Amino acid sequence: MSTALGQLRGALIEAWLALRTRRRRALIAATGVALSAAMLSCAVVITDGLGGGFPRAVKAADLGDLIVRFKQQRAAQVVRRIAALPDLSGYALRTEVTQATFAYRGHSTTKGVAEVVGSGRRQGYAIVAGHNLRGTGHEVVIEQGLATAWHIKLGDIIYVRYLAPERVVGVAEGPDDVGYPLAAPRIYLSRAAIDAQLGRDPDPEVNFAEIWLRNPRYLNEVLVQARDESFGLQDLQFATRSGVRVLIHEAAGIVIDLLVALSVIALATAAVMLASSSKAEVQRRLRAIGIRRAVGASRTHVTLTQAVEAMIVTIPAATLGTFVGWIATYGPGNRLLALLNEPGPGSALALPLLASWLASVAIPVAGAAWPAWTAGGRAVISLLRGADVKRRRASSRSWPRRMRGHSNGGGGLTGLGARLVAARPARLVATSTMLACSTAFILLMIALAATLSSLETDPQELGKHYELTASLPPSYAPQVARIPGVQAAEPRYELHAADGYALGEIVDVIAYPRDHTLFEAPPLASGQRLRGDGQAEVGVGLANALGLAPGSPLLLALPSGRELRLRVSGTVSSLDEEGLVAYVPAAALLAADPSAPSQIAVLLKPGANQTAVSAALTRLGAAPQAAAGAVERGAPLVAVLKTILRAVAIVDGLVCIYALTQACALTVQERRRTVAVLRACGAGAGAVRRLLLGAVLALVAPAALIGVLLELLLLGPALSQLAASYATLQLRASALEILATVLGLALAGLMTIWWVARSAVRESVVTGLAS
Amino acid sequence: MPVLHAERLVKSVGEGRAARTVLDDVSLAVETDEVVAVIGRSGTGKSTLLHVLGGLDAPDSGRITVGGERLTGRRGGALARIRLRHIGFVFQQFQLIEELTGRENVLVPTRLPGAPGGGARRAAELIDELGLSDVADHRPHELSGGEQQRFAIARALVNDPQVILADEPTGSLDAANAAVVLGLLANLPGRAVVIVTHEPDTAAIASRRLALDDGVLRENSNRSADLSV
Repeated sequence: MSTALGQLRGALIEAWLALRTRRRRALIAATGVALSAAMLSCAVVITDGLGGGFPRAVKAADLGDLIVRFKQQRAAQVVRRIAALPDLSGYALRTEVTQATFAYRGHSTTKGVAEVVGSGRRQGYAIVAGHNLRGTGHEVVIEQGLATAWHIKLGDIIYVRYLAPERVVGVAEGPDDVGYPLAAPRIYLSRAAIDAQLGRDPDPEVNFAEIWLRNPRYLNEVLVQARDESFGLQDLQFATRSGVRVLIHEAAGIVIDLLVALSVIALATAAVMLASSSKAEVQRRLRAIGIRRAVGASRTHVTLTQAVEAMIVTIPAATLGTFVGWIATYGPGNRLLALLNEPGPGSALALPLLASWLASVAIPVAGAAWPAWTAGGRAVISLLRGADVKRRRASSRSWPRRMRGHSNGGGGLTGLGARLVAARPARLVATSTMLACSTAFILLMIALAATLSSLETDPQELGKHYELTASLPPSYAPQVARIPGVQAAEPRYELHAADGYALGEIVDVIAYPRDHTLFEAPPLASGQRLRGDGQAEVGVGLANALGLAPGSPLLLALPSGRELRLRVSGTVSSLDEEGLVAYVPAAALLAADPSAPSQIAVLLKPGANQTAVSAALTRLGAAPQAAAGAVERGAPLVAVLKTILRAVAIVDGLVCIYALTQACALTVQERRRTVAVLRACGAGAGAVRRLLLGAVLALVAPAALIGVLLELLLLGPALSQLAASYATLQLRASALEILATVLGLALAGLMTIWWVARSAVRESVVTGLAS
Repeated sequence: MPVLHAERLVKSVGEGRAARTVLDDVSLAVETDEVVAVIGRSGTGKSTLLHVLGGLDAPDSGRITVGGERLTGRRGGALARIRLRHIGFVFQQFQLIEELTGRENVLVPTRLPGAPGGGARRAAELIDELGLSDVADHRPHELSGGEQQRFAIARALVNDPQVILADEPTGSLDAANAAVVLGLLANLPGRAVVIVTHEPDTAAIASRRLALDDGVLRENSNRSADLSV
């Protein structure tokens, strides 16, 4: 024991003394560790925070296994049907009032949702501040997103139409839907309190049931039974937990899966960088290790000293980096989760962060100790001879002599620089891999940001060609078409139907009297456009869910209770409703449901004044609305995502610059003698910069090429598929984006050349020659 | 007029109690076609003198001119340009760049910015003259010590400098290879050659021998005395 302590003490003293003489180098190494730890920490916060958001929300809110929405029914009737379900553990009923009006100070809405809840223990939402409704007095619980957006605090008063002023007693997160402003603002009211104000109804009407099962594995069987028991309930919509998750992802955009996948790439990148930089650092010091061995130090002592030295540098750096990464992404991550009605990870993040910190410490320490252990086993004399660069006979074999015979100066200084870097193939591969991953990562983020912005604002991305919709009866279409600036106007029928065979999927049914492609034409994925009353085009999402293909029968159960039988003519890539859409002929739809809701879709002439057309529509009594993108009301979400992406991109960029600089600095350090010989021959700072240009090109050029190809051929397509398997998302970087990223890499390379050359020419030539 | 002229050079190394004057008022003038050997025991400052004369190290005081250009007081790029055009170095450990073939090593100075033209032609001639054509495309580790040093000499000569500074040029060679290298250094017409060495045989080729002792440079007429380590 005392021997071990003595050895540790000796190693500590030796390590401390070694660091004192290499303060600058230690600082550089610490910077690298801190940056990598920050990146790792960012990845952990994003992956754990977002990836685990929904399960946390489900657990916190005790979300039901099955959520059922239906047209208002007496509670007693609904209870009877629910009680008949097998494996029932519990249920809660609500009245969900849409188009509710409420106001708070300068804010108000007429499109709010008021959830009137009973007094049961299980409510399906989690209280994150304050307390739950107590069933007495004028109390309201509001949704987290609403509280944040309207700056409502506990104890504030909000005004709900038809009710007395209500005091906010709690803030909740309900994972059955995304939060405001992605969805309508929600408040929760106690049925008992409402009854006290408006008079008690012994059998109130409800339209929402949340059901818990004893064993969720039997959900499918319960679903089948529930459909059987639901006879007479209109506008029935079932949602399972997984269905809710899909629903939330629909509103959250495509991005959560992408961020999680990107974080995994970041994590791998950080690991490669940490290990390679630590290994390179020990390689540089092989001679010193040889000296220690020569004076009698054991292999264990050499390794221990190296490990202790690495720990002294790594522990504070990794701590700082982990903290900075956490700070950079925790806030935006939580804001994003709040928008999704999901709780932040809170203290649960401590363990993953601790693991990330441990990895940030352990990888460099292991990376430093292992080469020291290996070196300690080598012949001392070979270490003393300056074993920093092995004289590789293999390299001469790999470059045939007849080719060398035609060489004329080795490509000059630039070529020599490239060869010096290539003499360390492992480091070259590690650094280039890291740069390539980072390049692909940055390109992907740029492409993702562009796609998000485009989806948010550009209806054309969804294949929508019309610019406006007007809430007017179908008979107004010819009148609207005559408005100056309007190219075409037709009724657009839209309703939600259920898949008639399994009732498991809700389908957005869209119909036009004539050719719908004039107004909206998502790209055809297979088959052909619909050509007759008996045909339908379906979204790829629906086709995947129901196993449909051109020629398959499609049975839609309409809210009217009637069925619509069609044959699939083709599938289309639609981002709307996750691809759960069907374009059907209006005649067929109206035959099955004459009261199908409609608006008039308005296609403008090129260059037409949309404001003037809107004004004309308003004069006709319509409330014109601009056609929306995929993530309507998603501006706050996109803003938060951009913040996260920016934070990760900045850390990633800094890690890139560090890795490049470190690789070049280590090459120059190892080849001090070569640089000194060149300078003795008359090379000035310009020549050293040219040498470094070759080194940087050898590292950056393949990395840029691989990174671009990686993004274009693998990451972009894979992630667009991951994000939206029901449509084709353009996540491949454009030429301009590639150019910008490559220019960024070039700039990082130039900075590296300037910095490393500056350090190299400061050293005395004589010192370099003697190294 | 001497092609290499050093006046009253003073150079100290170390600090505080460890400070030591290795060059104490040293003056030296070397003419074209002259071979000067600076001899002395190890650690007497011979290499320091060579480095100072070649602009690799700066004296504390004194003045040096090479090919009519003042060396002292110049910095960075200006010093590099003087070395490129006027000075060639030959080192004991050859200092060939491992990744390059012998021919490529010779061509390195010709590729530096500001190098005089015709470098490729001169390199080819030198390789031929020094009998290295057959091994010109070999890497340093594939060459004998003598071949490596001949490539190093070719590299030193390729930009046609007026001054060759050689630091223990035969220190890593066997007797046969040392004789070949010394033969080359002794016959470099149109150039001034300064060799620092502690080997009598090497010093023997010089037309003038100087001894450096306690920082003081003196004429040495004794061909063999006091040269051992």
